Amino acid sequence: MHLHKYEKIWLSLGGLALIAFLVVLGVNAFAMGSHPPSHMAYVDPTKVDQTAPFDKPGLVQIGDNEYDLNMTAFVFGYGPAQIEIPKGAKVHFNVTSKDVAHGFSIPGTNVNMMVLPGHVNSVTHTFDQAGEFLILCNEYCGVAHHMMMSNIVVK
Amino acid sequence: MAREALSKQETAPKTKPHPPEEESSLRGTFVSVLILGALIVGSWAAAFWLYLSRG
Ligand SMILES: [Cu+2]
Repeated sequence: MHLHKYEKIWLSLGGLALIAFLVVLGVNAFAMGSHPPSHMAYVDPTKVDQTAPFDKPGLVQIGDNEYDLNMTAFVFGYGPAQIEIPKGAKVHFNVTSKDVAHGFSIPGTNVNMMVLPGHVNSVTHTFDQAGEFLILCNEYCGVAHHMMMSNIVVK
Repeated sequence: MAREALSKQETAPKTKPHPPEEESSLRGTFVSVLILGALIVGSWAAAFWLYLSRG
């Protein structure tokens, strides 16, 4: 098949771009540990309040400035509603829903996931800067969806 | 003479004197493809930079 010289150039550029994107994706997934926010963990959505660790939602220290933050989402709020996090802490969020599908997003960070009843979704974020952060629901969940929030204070 | 040329044309073999496949000009297409490619790579790089900077 005859290909024009320019066609060969742009086809090679497209092929190289595809390889470059796949390499970046692979490095991100396998070397930097970027994965979708799910650990395939399940919980009975009707017994969230009786199931550890969601019976006592909050911050649990698991290492040197490293924490598990177990949270519940429900209509219309999060438990706990106010969280204090030490500056520089690496926080593993584990979140589940007590009722319907909710969102869990912290503007200005990469924390953004769905929270589904029956599932525990997890995401990790290191809070390097002091300040206040909002946790917002970005899945429409009912009439007071826009009131659904929690507050993180990093200091 | 004119008659001679005409008969020559009529009896000439089907192959034409110029190259069999004329290269069509793809210069404009090439430039458009490069501009579009640069836009795609640029917006991808911007989103990826945003992702890394918020890490
Ligand atoms: Cu919600």
